[in-house]
Amino acid sequence: MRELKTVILNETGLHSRPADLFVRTAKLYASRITVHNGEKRADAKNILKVLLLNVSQGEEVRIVAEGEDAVEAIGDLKTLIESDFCRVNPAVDV
Amino acid sequence: MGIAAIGFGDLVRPDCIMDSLEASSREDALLRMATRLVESGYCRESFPAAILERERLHPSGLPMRGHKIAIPHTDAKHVRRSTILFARLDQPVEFLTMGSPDEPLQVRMISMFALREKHLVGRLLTTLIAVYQDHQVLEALLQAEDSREMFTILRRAVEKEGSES
Repeated sequence: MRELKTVILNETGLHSRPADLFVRTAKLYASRITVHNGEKRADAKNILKVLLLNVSQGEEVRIVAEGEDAVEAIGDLKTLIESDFCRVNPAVDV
Repeated sequence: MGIAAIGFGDLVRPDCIMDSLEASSREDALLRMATRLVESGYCRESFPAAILERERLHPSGLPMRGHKIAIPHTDAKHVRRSTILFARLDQPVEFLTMGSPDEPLQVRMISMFALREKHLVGRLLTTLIAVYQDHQVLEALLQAEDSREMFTILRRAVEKEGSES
C-alpha cells in the first residue's frame, strides 16, 4: 500500500478538468485507489464519486493505492497534482 | 450581489431552457446552445469555440444510472453574466464520458453553464451532479410539457440541493 497526502492548489479544486485528468490517470493503474477528503472517501476511478467528494482549493487530500503498481500510481498522481493538473502521462490522450 | 449570496437556483432562468433542441451531433448541440448564450448576452463571442475545444479535450458526459446528461462548460473569461442553459434534445446525441473518454453515452439532456465566478465552479458542479443523480428529477424534466414546467422543476431542484449542501 502507498499513500500520499497533498494539498489541492488548483482554483477549481478537484473538479472539472482536474477531476477528468485525475480519474483518467488513476484508471491507467490496476491498483485500487481511493481519495479521502476528511472523513469522506471516493473511488479515484469513479468520476461521479470524485466530483461529489467536493474537494476545494486549499484542502488536503489523502490518496491511497493498493496493488502491484501502487508505487507508480501514487507517483503519477503526485506529479499530476504538483503540475497543477497538466497532462503528465502520455497515455492520457488530451 | 454575487451569486454566492443569492444561491445557484437564481442561475436557472426561464429564458435559458430549451425544451426541444434538434441537433445532429454533440458538436451541433453545443454550438446551438453556446450561440444562444452569445446572442442573449450571457457570453462573449469566443464562448462557442471555447466550449467545443473544451469538450474535445475534456468530455462532459456523466455516467449516471438511468438517463444520461452532459454538463459542458468552459473558462470564466468567455462569460459576461452567469447562467445555466438547460436543453432537452429531440433525439439523443453521443457524448463521451468525463474521466473515461473511450466510453460513449447517449445523452438526451444537456446542462451547459457559464460562470463568471471561477472559484464557484466546484460548488456548482457538485450541486448540479447531486441534482442530476436523482433519477426522478431527470425523468420529470424529460416528461415536462414545456420549457416553463422544466424551469419550475429545475429551479426547485437546484434550490433544494443548494440549501442542503
